[in-house]
Amino acid sequence: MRTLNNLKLMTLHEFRAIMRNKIAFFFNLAIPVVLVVIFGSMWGNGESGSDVLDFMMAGQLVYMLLSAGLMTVAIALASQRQNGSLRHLFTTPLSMGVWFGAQMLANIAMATLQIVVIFVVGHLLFGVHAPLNIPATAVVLFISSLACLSMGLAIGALVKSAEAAFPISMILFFSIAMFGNVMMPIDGAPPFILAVQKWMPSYFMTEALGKVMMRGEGLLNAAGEVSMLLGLMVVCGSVAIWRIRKQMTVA
Amino acid sequence: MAEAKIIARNLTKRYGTYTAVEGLNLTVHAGEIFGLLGPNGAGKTTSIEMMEGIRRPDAGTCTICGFDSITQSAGVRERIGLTLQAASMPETARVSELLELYASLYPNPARPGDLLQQFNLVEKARSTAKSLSGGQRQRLSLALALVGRPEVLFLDEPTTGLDPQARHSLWDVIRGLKAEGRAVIMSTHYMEEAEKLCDRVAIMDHGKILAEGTPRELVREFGPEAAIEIDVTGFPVNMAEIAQLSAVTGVQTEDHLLVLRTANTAASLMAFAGYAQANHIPLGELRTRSATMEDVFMALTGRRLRD
Repeated sequence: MRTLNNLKLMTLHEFRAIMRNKIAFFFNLAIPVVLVVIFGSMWGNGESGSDVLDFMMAGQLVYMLLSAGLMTVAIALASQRQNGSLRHLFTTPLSMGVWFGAQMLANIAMATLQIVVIFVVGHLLFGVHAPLNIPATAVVLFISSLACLSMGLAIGALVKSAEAAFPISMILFFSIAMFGNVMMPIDGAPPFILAVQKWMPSYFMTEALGKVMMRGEGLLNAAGEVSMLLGLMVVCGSVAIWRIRKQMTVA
Repeated sequence: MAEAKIIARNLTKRYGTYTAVEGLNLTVHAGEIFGLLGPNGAGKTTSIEMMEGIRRPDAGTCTICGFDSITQSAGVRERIGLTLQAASMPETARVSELLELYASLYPNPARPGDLLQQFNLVEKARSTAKSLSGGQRQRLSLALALVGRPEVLFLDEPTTGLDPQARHSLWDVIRGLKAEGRAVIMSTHYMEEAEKLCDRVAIMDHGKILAEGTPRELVREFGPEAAIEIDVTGFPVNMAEIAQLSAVTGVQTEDHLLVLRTANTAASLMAFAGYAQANHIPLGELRTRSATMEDVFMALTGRRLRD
């Protein structure tokens, strides 16, 4: 019972921290909405247009999840490490499991908010269509969200300072977004870039979303991409937990 | 004798060839305020962190309420409360939210509302941590340390940066913790704080405890001489002659004051009065003082704490 209450309050604490971070709000919610409005105004969607916005939604969703995970989480964690507030928390009976669980739940809550906002805006203004396979899309988005969170936690736990976290997460964010088909199609890029693309987490996300969201395929058809994302989540999450446990418990 | 809550034995921490803390031994009992006094870099924070279990010692052990700081840290963390030196807390979180969050982490927490009242933070309950003043942050930090009803409190320089009023207000709170039977260990580099607040004090320098005892014992043992201070501005004095006066053990000037160290205040006063009369020196501003912790620190380390 106490653990559940811990988890609830810790999740609320983390979610509020994300929502009160004005820069994060701008990158995580405002920019994607503005992009949808710009693209929608330029090309329209559905009957009056060419379904361009439907096609771009997958990229926009991945952009938001990457921004929330890589930028917001990494920088926030590095700052908490640097100012000692994370260490202070771990001098209480707080367990690593509850802390990590709260990070996951807060991030999923943020992702849900992002997804709902962008679909509602897209649908109301430009008639964006709902995903063809909604349950499978939800699963892919949540797994993608957790993979992004884990990458952000690993960066935040490994960087030396909050000052270093910002450029590192920014470079990684843009690299992963750009090479992973999020910002623009790179089908005509040189072969070595296409080879790199096949290993980008964002590539697995957009590919999986393309299958379940755009083509209405089942989750099994995206099993390869989802497995890669789960693997990434486990590896990055383990690195983050190992590093934080080492720093916060006994130095 | 009350129950021993902190027992540190031979705690040592090295960083390469540099020894931050060497062979620290101390015991703190329930209902006692124990002060670690020393300049910056003396090893106070490292010592406290080893006792808390957040820094692994290279040698030695520490038990808190019978639990080993390192191997039984879960038991320790349920029984301690602590403030970190910089009073670190999530900046965008509200005061009441932080108290509720921390309360949820302990098996038998204090009520956040009671702590808000105790620490005079009711009006700030909806304020974010970053909007608090230095004194309010320290009070919140102490409230967070107390929310788990800890048996042992570690306070790392809790009054650093506070104005005198806020400092005295925090002293009252810490005295209240002692009255409730909690063991309090605090580091400070304020002599007055150690002297007025702590039941026992350990003076640290270069990672070692140089002396330990009640402030009165330390003054008696290491600073036995009283001092007579006379303002002699504008009047020539012969230091060598004054040093020969009755019971005077040393003479020096501090700012514009002539300071006589004496083993017998009355005898030296009488003797100096005679010297002053003979040399036409007015005794306009003259005062005597007993030895202080500052003198003790000077005697033990050869320098002033503020140097």
